[in-house]
Amino acid sequence: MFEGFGGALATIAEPHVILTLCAGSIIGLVFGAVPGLGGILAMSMLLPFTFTWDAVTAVYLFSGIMGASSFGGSISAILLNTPGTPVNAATCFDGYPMAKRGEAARALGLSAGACLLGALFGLVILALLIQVMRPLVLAFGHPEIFWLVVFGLVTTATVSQGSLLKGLIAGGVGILLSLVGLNEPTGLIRYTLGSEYLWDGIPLIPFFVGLFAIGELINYSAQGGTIARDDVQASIRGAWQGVLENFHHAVCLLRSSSIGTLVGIIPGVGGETANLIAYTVAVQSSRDPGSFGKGHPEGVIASEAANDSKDGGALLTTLSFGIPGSLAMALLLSIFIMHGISPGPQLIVEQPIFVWTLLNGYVVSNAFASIFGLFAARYLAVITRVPVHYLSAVIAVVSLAGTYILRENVWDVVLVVLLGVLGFGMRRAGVPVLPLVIGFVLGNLAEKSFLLTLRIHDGSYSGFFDSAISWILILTMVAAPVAKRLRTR
Amino acid sequence: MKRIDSTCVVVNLLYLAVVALVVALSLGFEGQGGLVPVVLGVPTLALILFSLGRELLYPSAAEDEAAPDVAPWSRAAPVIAWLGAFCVLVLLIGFQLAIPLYMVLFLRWYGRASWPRCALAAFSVWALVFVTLDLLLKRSLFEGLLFGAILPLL
Repeated sequence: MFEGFGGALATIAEPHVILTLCAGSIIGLVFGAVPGLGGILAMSMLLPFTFTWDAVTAVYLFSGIMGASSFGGSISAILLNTPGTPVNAATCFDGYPMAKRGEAARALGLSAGACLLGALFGLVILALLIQVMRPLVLAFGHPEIFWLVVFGLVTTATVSQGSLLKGLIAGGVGILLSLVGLNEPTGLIRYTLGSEYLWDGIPLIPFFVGLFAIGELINYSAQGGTIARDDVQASIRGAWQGVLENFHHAVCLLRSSSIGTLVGIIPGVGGETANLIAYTVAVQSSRDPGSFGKGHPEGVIASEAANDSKDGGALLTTLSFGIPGSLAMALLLSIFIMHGISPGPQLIVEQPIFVWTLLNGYVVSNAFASIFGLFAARYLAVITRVPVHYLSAVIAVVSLAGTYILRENVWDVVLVVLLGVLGFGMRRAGVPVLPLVIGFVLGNLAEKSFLLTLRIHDGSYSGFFDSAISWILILTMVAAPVAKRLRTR
Repeated sequence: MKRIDSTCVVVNLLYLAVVALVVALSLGFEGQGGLVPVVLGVPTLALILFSLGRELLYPSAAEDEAAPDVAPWSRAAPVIAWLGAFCVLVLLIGFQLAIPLYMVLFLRWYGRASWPRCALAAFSVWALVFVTLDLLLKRSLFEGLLFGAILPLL
């Protein structure tokens, strides 16, 4: 495996590769930071342009985008309480309160450091495990995936602001909303009420942009003033302090990176879950869980470290078995195939230089994005002192136009605004938005794994309780609300 | 005594309508099409009814968790109206015209910004959207019902 490392390292020194990586990182950073766009959109749009490129250069471009978009998403999550990409949702919880306290630069520094260290952790694990991880992937069958989804939902409802009851209701409604449209296992078209618009289901990106970006936009526009209520500490020193602070929270960093890598390994669970589970565990493990959601640095570290380490895990299954662990990996797989590269166990043996090229590109782009973020933090943090009317006008226009171009359906724009009003109403009523979103993201996976488990076990429910992994997930899930109750008392 | 939180009641009623509709429709599906929605929908329905009943009958027992940092509806309503107006503008005249028009009107009347600032912000955002989406990404923005669908027919 390691024999290709030297060869891959040699390619990275070539000027056109450095240029491609920089371009990929900047594109990833910008697309990641704009709510509604995201790295996947950037990759899918640039895919046709790279058809004539050689495979290595194309892979550098896409690994650059992939590596930088997550940090880009955390910028808007911290500064505007609007996750640039769905995987940055949990970063809002503590990053934004820090920005409101005037500690935007510190929060961005925390995020930059956690992104880079998380990515390095994921890739080290990938390099170590790539040959021996087959049993771990195979241990997660349909029942385990079902319980993992339920686990993610219940724990999210437990740690979200608001009552557990409201969180569970929101999670249930989120799952039911995700079931609208064509159901693949049965071939039925459900709950569309005769509308062709809903045949493909409620679109994911407008759902996110509406509930998070527009819901929050309504709130801060109505409040007026600026996002940061206190003086903004936006010096490079503040950002650097944030980076170094990652080492003071090494346990949280390592734990979250491990969670991210593990979630990334499990095919189909997706990156949206990793940051939320890591955040949940960080809250539960903390001696002061009450300070989370109010600007706790471990909230940012947990979310961003898990985000970037999950790609290492997802690459593991993508490279080893050709099973994409997430949407981004599915796209990467199509890039491989487009350039005549077949993923699978033979890829590591036959093309080690190619594999290392991908990994090197990912690390360098993460480092580039983090360094850029560090130096740009003082300028980016100024955004929190801009009058909110300007921000809200710009965000409304860019988010709605960005949402429109994804499917070129103007009704998505209307849907975003309606969901924005719902998102604001939920905030006003103290109903947590997050479980609704998590339920919506994971609903289809939950139904699919539920039905497949039943089918495999001839309609018997015993299949859900067969394995040790299922029981670990069930017991942890039951323990989470009980622990919260005990702590509250 | 704690007052009934009307927003919470409305959100719960909305949830109730959605979940009740899903469960009712699911009962009509053949095979396993309605299994998961019913298995999940019925307990969710029970939780919503419990939450709603508690909010209406014993508001003091309901946990007081309305986020303190959220603006009241009276201040949010104008912002929602402006967003609605932007949607109507996009539907009628498309993004290219709706964006500068909305930016100028919103910043001038809602944000009380000066005319030059409004114009500068409107032009900058329009240029950003146009250059990024239209020129670089080659995505055609919606032209509006008037310019894209109705006027060409005349």
